[in-house]
Amino acid sequence: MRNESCRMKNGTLSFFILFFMTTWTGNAQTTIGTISSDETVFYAQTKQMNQFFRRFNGEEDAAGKRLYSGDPGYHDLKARRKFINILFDNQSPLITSDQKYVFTEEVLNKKTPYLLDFHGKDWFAELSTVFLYKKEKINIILYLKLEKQNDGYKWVFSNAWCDRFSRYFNHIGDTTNLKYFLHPMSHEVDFMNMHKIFQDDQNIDYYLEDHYIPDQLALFVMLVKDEALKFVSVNNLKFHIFQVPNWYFEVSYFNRNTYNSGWLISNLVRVNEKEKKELLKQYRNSSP
Amino acid sequence: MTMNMQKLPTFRWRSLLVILMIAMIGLGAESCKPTGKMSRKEKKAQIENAKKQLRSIINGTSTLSFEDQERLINETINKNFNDSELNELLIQATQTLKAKRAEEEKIRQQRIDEARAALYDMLLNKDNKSADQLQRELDGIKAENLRDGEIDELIARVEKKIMEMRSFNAAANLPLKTQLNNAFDGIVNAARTGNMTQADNQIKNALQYFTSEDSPVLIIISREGAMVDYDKPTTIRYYLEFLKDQKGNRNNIESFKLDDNGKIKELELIKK
Amino acid sequence: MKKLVLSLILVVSLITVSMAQTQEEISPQRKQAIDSLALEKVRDLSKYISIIGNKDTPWSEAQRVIERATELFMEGSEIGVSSLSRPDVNYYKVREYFDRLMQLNYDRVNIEWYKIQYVSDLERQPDGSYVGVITIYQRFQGYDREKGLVYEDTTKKDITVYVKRKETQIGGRLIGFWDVMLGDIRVKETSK
Repeated sequence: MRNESCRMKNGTLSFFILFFMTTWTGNAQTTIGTISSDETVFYAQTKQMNQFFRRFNGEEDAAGKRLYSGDPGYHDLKARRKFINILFDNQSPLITSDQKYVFTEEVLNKKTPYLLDFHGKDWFAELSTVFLYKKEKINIILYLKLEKQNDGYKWVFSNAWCDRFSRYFNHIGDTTNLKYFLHPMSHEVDFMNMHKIFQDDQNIDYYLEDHYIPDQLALFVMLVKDEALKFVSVNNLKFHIFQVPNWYFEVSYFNRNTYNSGWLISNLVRVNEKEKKELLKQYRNSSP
Repeated sequence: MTMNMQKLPTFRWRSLLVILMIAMIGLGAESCKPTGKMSRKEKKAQIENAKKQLRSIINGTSTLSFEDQERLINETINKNFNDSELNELLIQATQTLKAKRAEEEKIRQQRIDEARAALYDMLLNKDNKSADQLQRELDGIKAENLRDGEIDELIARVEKKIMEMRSFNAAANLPLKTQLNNAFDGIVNAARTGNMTQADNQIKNALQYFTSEDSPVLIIISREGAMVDYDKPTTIRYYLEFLKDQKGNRNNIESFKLDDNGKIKELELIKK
Repeated sequence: MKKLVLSLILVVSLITVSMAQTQEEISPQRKQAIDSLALEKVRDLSKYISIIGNKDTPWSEAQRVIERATELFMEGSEIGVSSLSRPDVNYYKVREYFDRLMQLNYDRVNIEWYKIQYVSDLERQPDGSYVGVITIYQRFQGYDREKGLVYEDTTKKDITVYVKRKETQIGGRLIGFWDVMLGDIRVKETSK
């Protein structure tokens, strides 16, 4: 793993140094700054998710210059291989070299190479946030996806998760419960026994169906509108990408002073379509 | 006439001849010499003529110039005709001329004051007039020929100012585009050396090329056939301050439109 | 029959042309020019920040430059700052950020930018305008008269850029221009 890491690191460095020495003629007029030392780290860093997509797809060169259809090197498999190589977090214990290899080979297969689509479905942002709820700071995870409107796009909430919210539904599927239930003949008395269950508010979730999946996003919206939830701050951000067939990967930001930094694949899992469907439920509440 | 003539006594004929010669010379001289005294007739005619001319001076119908009128009065006085009516007319004419002189002097002083005020305005040039405009105004004042020392000095100052304005533009014959580029470079260079006062002065000078500090500036960022893309339009004041702040000029002059006074009313630049 | 077919072809062509015209096609060259313009606005901001942070800048001049810098931004834009020691994000209104910059307690500050910058694609928003992000890296050094360099950091700045096509009348003619405005800026300290 360590040798692999060193090879990767040296490979990354050589890739950028060689590229700059032989090909890049930066136009000073279009640059902002004057400091030129320590820049190779910044060049190597995948600075934006936009850049992650472009590098993955081979839609920019090593200097960050955008490539368009018809430009030399556009979607070039060799260039993409070099780029995908540097898009993994080399320090992640969750990604093995075998996984990287198979993933890369499948993505770059000559017959049907796979490209990521910024405007496509099946990729989500996971945003860790802090809200005030009943004067207490709580963490809420918001899931977002891109949605088309008119001819443009926007981020929308697709789901939410809060540990605090899940506590409201602790008793769903509790098959050991022998006390809190509406008996099977309740219908014959017009469910008049309903009023008893509402005398015991905290146990109301016992009366939900076993497989009920709480809509935490709806709860979130309701609490915000009722001014019970007040936004404090955003914390962490990462992305979940399901666009490559048979694969799921997570992308996170690594703030490191090394060539292997910026937005990188932090987790990689091989999944079949059924598993993918199940995973996707976490990120979106509605059907696609 | 021979021997007989020769026999006449010569003394007598010679004397007579000499007397006759002297008499003839005397008579001839006598006819060239002035009499010293006019004839009465002539004197009367002159007096009448002088009276006529004086009366026209008094009632303002004289066609003579002011100086000629004065000369006429002085000559008539010097002739000392000793005519009481003439003397009376002389007094009146003198008074008339004196009054006229005073009136003319008053008008001249007014014109001097006006010229002085106009020359001061030109020196300050608050309206940011061009060198050519100032020159035209100055020529108008010079044509009045006011013959006043202070005015002459002010005229000289304004002439110097106009010359300086023209030489600031590095000779009046440089194309306006070159002058404008030089102005922009002046601002940038001053800012780069950290001399902000100088930069501000350069901005003030550069604004003189323009109709006003709100004259629009358009910057072309891209041109594809008929499709031209611009940056957000700005004003020349803002643009010049922008040059100072950014310490650089990223644009070339593409074209400009002039107003009737030869000042730039609209400037178009293009990205370098 | 022939007439019907021809009519149909004509109708389809008209519809296609009209659809093409509803989505403005921007050539790569124009896109490049717009990207450069956006980058220039960020560079302008960088220069303004230098002037504002410079202790030698007279107060009135600094105020003038703060005005100009603020004019680069959309209304409501904020600067979100976090550091390695304090990962919580603090939000400042743009004007507030500049005022704080002017009041920093150093005898001298040095603000410089690395040459590297990254310009994202411009994405279309539902309202028809475009939005992108430009990433730059800034080095900040604070000096004390006696102690010398007392503070240094390098921050990554992700600057939102909005681009909208507008028209205006200048001198009696219609001018089409790209209105580029800056938006929220995320400032993160980079790891040393």
